[in-house]
Amino acid sequence: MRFESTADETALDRLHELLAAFWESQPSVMPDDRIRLETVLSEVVGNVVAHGTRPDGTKPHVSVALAASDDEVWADVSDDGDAPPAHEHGLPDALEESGRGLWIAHEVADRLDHSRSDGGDNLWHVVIQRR
Amino acid sequence: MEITRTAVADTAAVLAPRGRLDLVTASRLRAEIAATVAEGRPRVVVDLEGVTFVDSSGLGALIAGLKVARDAGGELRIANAGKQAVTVLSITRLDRVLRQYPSVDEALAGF
Repeated sequence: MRFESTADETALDRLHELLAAFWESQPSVMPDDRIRLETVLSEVVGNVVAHGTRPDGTKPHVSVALAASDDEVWADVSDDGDAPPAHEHGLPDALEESGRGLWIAHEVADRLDHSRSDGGDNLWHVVIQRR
Repeated sequence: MEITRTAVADTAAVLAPRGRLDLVTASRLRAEIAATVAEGRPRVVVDLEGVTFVDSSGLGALIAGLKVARDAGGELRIANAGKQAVTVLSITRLDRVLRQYPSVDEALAGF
């Protein structure tokens, strides 16, 4: 199951619509596993919306594909925007207002891999082990 | 994102956002908290009953609100956090900073 969108404010609405449809098609996925995938994807796609605008001001395209097996749910996200912010290594101080997004994604996902394709696309692979 | 504000006593207010608290909507909550505090109500309870999802931007808005409230001699507390909100609050250890209550009444009682 997948969607493609311009990475603007509507992209997160589309993401949650896709997730809702996906869970309908996969009723055996437990609530906690759903929460984890939604949390990670909101941060990853949110980063594309927040930081992916190209130097010329145009917004990138983002695509999200979801799949499930008995053991895992996983997602592949790709966008053709700017490279993502450097991975935040530690959790910022409690009273910091930003800088937690990718940290949360890495903490919640069982696997979160980022790479760049030859064509310059950002590729994210998210794996949630079903518990 | 719709946010309902209810004034309580002289210096408190309950804010009830509805929907997702994320990158797109967080700035609205931040602004609403700031306006509430500026109008003389620095004791703020954010009722998360109607909030379906909180991401790092939503957490940022709550932290910003906490600082604004404290700077004005008040406090910000959370009530009725759902499973997903509790998950992100505990993973980021912000549950130590943003006090959570099981109901709005209990959150207000502490003020």
